[in-house]
Order: sequence, then structure tokens, then C-alpha cells
Amino acid sequence: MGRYVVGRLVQAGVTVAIVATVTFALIHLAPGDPFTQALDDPAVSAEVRALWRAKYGLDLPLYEQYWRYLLNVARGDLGWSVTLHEPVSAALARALPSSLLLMGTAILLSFAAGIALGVVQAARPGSWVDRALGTVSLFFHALPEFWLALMMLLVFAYRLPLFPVGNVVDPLLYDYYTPWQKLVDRLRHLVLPSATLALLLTAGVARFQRAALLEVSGEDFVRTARAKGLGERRVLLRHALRNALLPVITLFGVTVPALVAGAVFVEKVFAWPGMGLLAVSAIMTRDYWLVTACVVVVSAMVALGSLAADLLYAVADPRLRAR
Amino acid sequence: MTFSPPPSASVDRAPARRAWPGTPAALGVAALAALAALVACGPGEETRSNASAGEAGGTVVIAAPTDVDILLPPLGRTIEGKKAADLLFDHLAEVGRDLNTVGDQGFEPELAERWTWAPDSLSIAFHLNPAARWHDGVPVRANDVRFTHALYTDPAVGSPLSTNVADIDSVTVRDSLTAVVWFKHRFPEQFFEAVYHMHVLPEHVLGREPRAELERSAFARKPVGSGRFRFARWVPGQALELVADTAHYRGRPKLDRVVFSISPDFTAASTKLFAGEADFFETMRPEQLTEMARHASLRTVPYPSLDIGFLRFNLRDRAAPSRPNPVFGDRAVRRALTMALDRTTLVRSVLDTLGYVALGPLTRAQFSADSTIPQLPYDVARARATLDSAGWRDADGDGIREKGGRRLAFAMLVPNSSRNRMRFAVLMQEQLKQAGVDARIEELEFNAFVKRLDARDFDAAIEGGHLDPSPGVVRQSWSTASARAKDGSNYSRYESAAFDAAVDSATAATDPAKSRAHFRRAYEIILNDAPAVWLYELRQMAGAHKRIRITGMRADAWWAGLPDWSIPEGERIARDRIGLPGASQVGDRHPESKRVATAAGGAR
Repeated sequence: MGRYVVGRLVQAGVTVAIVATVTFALIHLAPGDPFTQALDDPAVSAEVRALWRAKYGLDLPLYEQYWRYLLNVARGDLGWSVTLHEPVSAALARALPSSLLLMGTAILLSFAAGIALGVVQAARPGSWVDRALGTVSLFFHALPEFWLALMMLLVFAYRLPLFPVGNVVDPLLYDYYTPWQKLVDRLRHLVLPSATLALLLTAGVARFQRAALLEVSGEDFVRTARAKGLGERRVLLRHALRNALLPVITLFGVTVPALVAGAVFVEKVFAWPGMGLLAVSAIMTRDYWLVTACVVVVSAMVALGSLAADLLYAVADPRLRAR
Repeated sequence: MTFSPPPSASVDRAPARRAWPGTPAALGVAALAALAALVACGPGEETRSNASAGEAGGTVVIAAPTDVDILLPPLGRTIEGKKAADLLFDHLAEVGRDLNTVGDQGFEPELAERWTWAPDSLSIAFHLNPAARWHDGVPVRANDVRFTHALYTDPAVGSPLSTNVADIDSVTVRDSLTAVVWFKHRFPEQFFEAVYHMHVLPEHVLGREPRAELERSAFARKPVGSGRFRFARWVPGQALELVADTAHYRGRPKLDRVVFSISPDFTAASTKLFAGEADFFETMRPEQLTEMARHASLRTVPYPSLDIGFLRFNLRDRAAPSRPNPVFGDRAVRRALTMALDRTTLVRSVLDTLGYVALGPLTRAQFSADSTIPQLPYDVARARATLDSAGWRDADGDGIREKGGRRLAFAMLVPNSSRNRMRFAVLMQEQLKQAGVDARIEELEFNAFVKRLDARDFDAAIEGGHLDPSPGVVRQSWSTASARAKDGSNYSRYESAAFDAAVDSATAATDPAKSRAHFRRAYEIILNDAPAVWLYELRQMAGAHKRIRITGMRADAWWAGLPDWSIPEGERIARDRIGLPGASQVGDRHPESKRVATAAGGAR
């Protein structure tokens, strides 16, 4: 097992390096550079434009820029964000926890609710409950993220002012709150963005879970359990569900990278300063170093998510553990 | 050759308020001035004298779609950064509401309580207010002014604003309270150049920092200023909070604090205003005005702007710049295209009441504005006749004109960042078709749009711009020098010796009236040559809570009067009563804040 994990980690390292290289090349090929929007203005002198580009090595050949970037990364320096005027690591350190909190909550909620819904649907396939839940989950699955986010905002923050419009905490009063009030304030700000994402994700999980449960419910071991006289609930939850979790674990592995990749539209609508918003604004402003760092972090999470899913398979399926 | 110094040369200039003693004649002048100021105010605004603030206090939360970039003025590159800089740092003097940039007429004292022009007009001595202090308590001195100029112009710093002070030769210190600004030559906007772009910076704090590393200094994120608001905190992507400097030499702001609450999504940012989480939103869209009307606690506040949009033509051939553009190289065709566009309908359709038809390469807020400049009329019949005469005819009956086998077709570049410009493009496409012109829309990502303009690789492009208060800025986009410069922004490559001469005369005139006359001539020339169709000028409309008394919204900086905005005591809500941080107020602050915190939610 140890060798397997080490092997996968090496594989992940190579993948991340390739992704970083491709990203570095692609973002440099895109029109403009980090100073286009800010400095390519007739009011700014050519000397000043040249100075800033030289200061960040943009006047060097691409291979030399890449080499310098690699050396810096090897030293643990991810570079300087020229649009945020701070180290890239500081920007990531601010955005990453925000994304982990938002996406972690959303994934937790969606997998808990999705698995439960899938079980309820699979327990009575074809019933009106199954059809109704299927229709509702399909409806949410089909909704565009930005639209649902705006609707949630308009309904629950504006028409029914139950939750704040956006931000992570109250921009004005948070510093004056007691610790308990601070916690409540954070949770109130978390509700709408995480609920939006959870609604979108739950539908997919529920559909996966329902299909997997229906597939295993015809298997011999389920029939045997029923033949032994076990109750239907016990058959479903103790015997069928465990085997039907494998596809959902796969889905989990695919979803985990979203923990760090964030959700651009939801973050934008709810002013949630996560990785999605950071990466997109970095791309729009051609903040090369920030873009590359964001992509490296996300690709590392994809590799690790895939590894985590494989390890979870082993936990869930004794046959894989034996191999 | 002699040079006439500005009217105030060799005369000490002092604040208007200080210069008016309480004589009957002076009172009469003051009354007239007050009346003029009232007339000058836009609807929904109040003058300083009208704002009955009662006790100072209150909080204004401003919903902002963009965060600031940096809090170090010489390196600021965004409008959000400029807002913060203007509130945190004082200038030597501030431009007046009329945005006059010639001489020193209308300028109001800030750090400099008065100034003296040298007889030869090559220098101005600024006499600093001895009471001026940095927010850390250190007095503001002439050395700071000298240091500031050095910082803005030091190549190691690389300030994008350095060209704005390029005509200043040096700053010397006559005594601790007198800084003398020396100019390389005499020109009418000397005073404007000396005071408008430079925020005075503290040498005792920044002097220790390596010039090339200023961007990375702690100051850049936590500045020590001299403005009427002081820095409180900045949480990137979330909020920037400024609090009143209660001991400020020009008087305490009437508000306790200003919070810029960031929401990157435009709809979400405006929703903050509607939901009561914000008190002010600077740019309402037409579709939001109906929603505004549903809120009894809100009102709209119109204010002038320096934003214009225009359809630019490339007058040279894209492939062979030495040749004229096969379509736009012909002045008659450009004029015909202008006459084929119903700009009034376009502006009404896209901007509703939030825009005017542009007068030309200027805005109504600039001192050179003249709404009587003759415009090419909307006249489709005349446009068609002009195109016929120019040899563009629809020979094959497909509705599009041709000449020498070439269709009258071109692409209009539009950046995908602007919804308004895309709407204009769609409507113009339809109107041009009525005149037999095939205008295609080419939507581009913003950086790609800029790159195509820089490379002059376009036929036509819909540009938007935020102009400088100085009308001389027209040179950047339309002068021959800019057309020929490698980095110039006269992307049309429009060249007119008559236009250049008129602009030169305008920017050399020391009398604003003469300057306006020359600018009028320049505008007439360029409008007749039609290297562009000037489409719209934005009429900005802010949304604000009614309890806030707003004053001093200038076209170049709506936030300029923020220190004088007020909230009457009887209309304050919970968040207005938080109080200010500070040793003397700590005892009051926390019990109050806890009370506010307990009431938070509904009260916000």
C-alpha cells in the first residue's frame, strides 16, 4: 500500500509540473500582459511601461522567464501578484481557506442530502416520491449556477431579508461582535452561497446514488439477505448501500478538487473571496504568476482527490483491499 | 515675445472663505456666490451650506463592485485606488466644481493655505497650513512636498503618473512651511499640474523605504495620510474602512466613517443598496431605476461625468498603412456614416435617461464644453446621397453598396467587457444597413481588443473613455503627434494641421474664455472631419439612502465632497452610532457597539 501511495504521489508531481508548464505557456500566448490594462495608456510614458515589464522579467525570452519562475518556485517563492500588489502566496493563503470552508460545507451538505435522497428514491422506484424527487433534482441539476445564485440572493437576502447579501462577514460590525456573535455572523454569511452550491451538487449525487442502489439491489447478495428474512430497511442500508457507494465515491473524488478550485459565479455573486474568483480575475488581468499558482494548486488537488478516491475505494470495498 | 501671467500672478491666493470679510459688499458677493453654487448643484444634491448635519457622526457604507489595488498614490492604477487616495491624502489645493484647469481660478486650498506666483510665472510658492498634520501627528512640512515630487518622478519608482507632472522641473524648500514648485516652461495649466495629480506624501515614513520596493512596503497597504479621513482597515476583496480624522486642520468630516463594501457582481452590489446593507451605489443602470422608485428610503442622485463613448474609424489601410483606408480614408464617407446614425435614438435606447448624445471629443463637465458646436445632422437621405456621390452604389441590388468591386462592409470591434457598447453596436448595425452599409460586430476579450487597437489592426472600434478634467487631453487621442508616435493612442491616425493648431492655441491661452474659443474651433474641425462618431456621454446616477445629505459630487470625482456629507442626528440608524475608535472614546465605543451589535441584522 505504501509503495502504491508513493508511486501515485510521484505521478501527481509529474502531472502538476506538466500542467504548470502548459499554463505558463498558454497565459503568455494570450493577448496582453499583466500591465496592459494598467499601463498601456497614452498618459503613461513608454519608459514607465518598459520599467515595469523589465522589473518583472517580461522583456526576457519566454524560456528564460519560465526558468526563472521554476527557480523561484523551487525556493518556495510563488512570485508577486502585480495586480494585487502582494505575494502570490499571501493571496492564496487568503483565498484557499475561504474556498475550503465554502466548498467543504457545500460538498458535505450535498453528499449527505444526495445519498439520503438517492436511498429514498431507490427504496420505492417508480413511486410518486421517486418521480417527484427525480423531477426536483433534475430541475436543480439543470439550473445555471449564476442564475440560481442570483435568485437565492434576491429571494433570501432581498425579498425575504433572512440572510446578508454577501461577503464573508459583516464588513462594518464584525469587529464589534462578541465571539458568539462572530460565529453566528460567519454562519449567516455562509448559508446562501453554500446552499446554492449544495442544491446544484445534491441533484447529481442523488441521481448517482439512486442508479447505483437500483443496480446492486438485483445482485445475489441482496437477494440472499432478503431470503435470510432481513427487513427491507436493513437490506438497503446495511447490504446494498455499502456496495452502491462506489460510484458515489468516484463522484466525490472528482468533486474534491472543487474544494480549492472554488465556484466562480457563486463566489462573485456572494462576494466570497475564494479561489475561483481569484483565478478568474488573475486570468482577466493576465497576472501570470497568480494564474500559474492557482492552476498548480488546483491540479495538485485533482491529483490528490483522485488518490483519495482510490484509497476510499479500498476502505469501502474489501475486495480491493485484498488486492 | 511676452507671456501674460495668469490673472493672479504675483498675488497671494487664499481660500475664498478666508478672503471674504464681513463687509456688506463682500456679503453681497458671498450671497451671489452661494446662489451660483446652488444653481450649479445637480438635482438631489445639497450645498455645503444647506447640509444641516447637527452633531458630526454616522456611517456611510458604499457598495463597490471593485476593490482598491494599492493605497500608495504614485503607484495607483485604478479608479478605486484613486478614490481611497483622494480621501486619505490631501493635495496642495483642489480643483473647483467647475473643473477649470487654467490658472488657479476656482481652486480651493488644502495643504497650502495660500500660494504666490513668481513674477515670471515660472514658479509658484505654496505656503503650507501650519496646522496640517499627518495622521500619526507629525506636522506636514515643505520637505514632504519636495519628497513627493521626487517620488513621482523617480524612474526607480516608475509612477504611471509621472507624465502628469513632467513639466515640473523641481520643488525647492524656502522654509519649513513654503515649498516652491519650479516649472520647465510657462503654460496655462501649471497650477493644475502642480496640485491635481500629486497627493503629498510623508517623507518621515516613506523616506526610509527603498524607492524601487515601494510597492512592497507596509505603507502601500496601511498608509499614513493627511486627508480628512484616516485609514482604519482593508480586508482585500471585502471592505475598506476609513474613519474621520477628528483633529483635522481643515475641520473634522461630518461623518464618522466610510466603508467601501466590495461585491464583484454588479447586481449583488446594487442589491446591497436595496436591501439596506449599503447606503450608496455610484452607478445605477436604467433597469434599476424602477426598482429604486419602490424604495421610499432611497433616492437617485444625478451627477456629471467625464465618460464618453465613440465609434472610431481607422483612416489608414490596415495592411498597408501608407495607403488610406479604402472606406474610411474618404472624409465624405465618414461624414455620411455619421449622418446615417440616429444618435439620439441610440442613446435613448441604450442608456435611457442616463446619457446624452456626445458633443464631440469632450464632455459637458469640462470647462471647454460648448453645447452649441454644430453637429452633423441625422439625415439618412443625405447620407445616401453622399455615398452615391462618393461612388458607393448598390449595383447588384443586395442592399449593400459597392465601389470598384469592394463592398461597403467593415467590422466594428467591441470589447466584451461593455454591455452598453455591445448594445450600441447592434443598433448601429441596423441603422447603417438602412444606408446600404454592412457593419459586422466583432466582439473581443478586453486585452485582445486593446492589442488590436495598439496594432492598428481594425477598421472601426467602439471605444469608451474616462477623460481627464483638462480638455488638452484631446491631444492624446487625436493629434498628429499621437498618430505618428509608436505608442500614441490616435489609433485612427487622424492628422489635421488645423486641428492641431487650434488645440495648441487653446492650451496656450491663459484666459479661459480665449481657451474655450480655440477649443471650439478645434472641435468644429474634428467634427467636420469625422474620424469618429461620438456617440454618448454618460449622465451618472447614483442611488443613495435619503438620510444622507450629499454634497460636492464632481464629474471627475464624485467622492470629493465625502468629508462634507452628513447624516442628521434624528435620522441616524444603528450603524451610524457605532462611534469612533480612539483612546478618548474607547469607554464609549464598546457599550455602544455591543448595543448596535445586539440590534444588528434588522437595523443594518
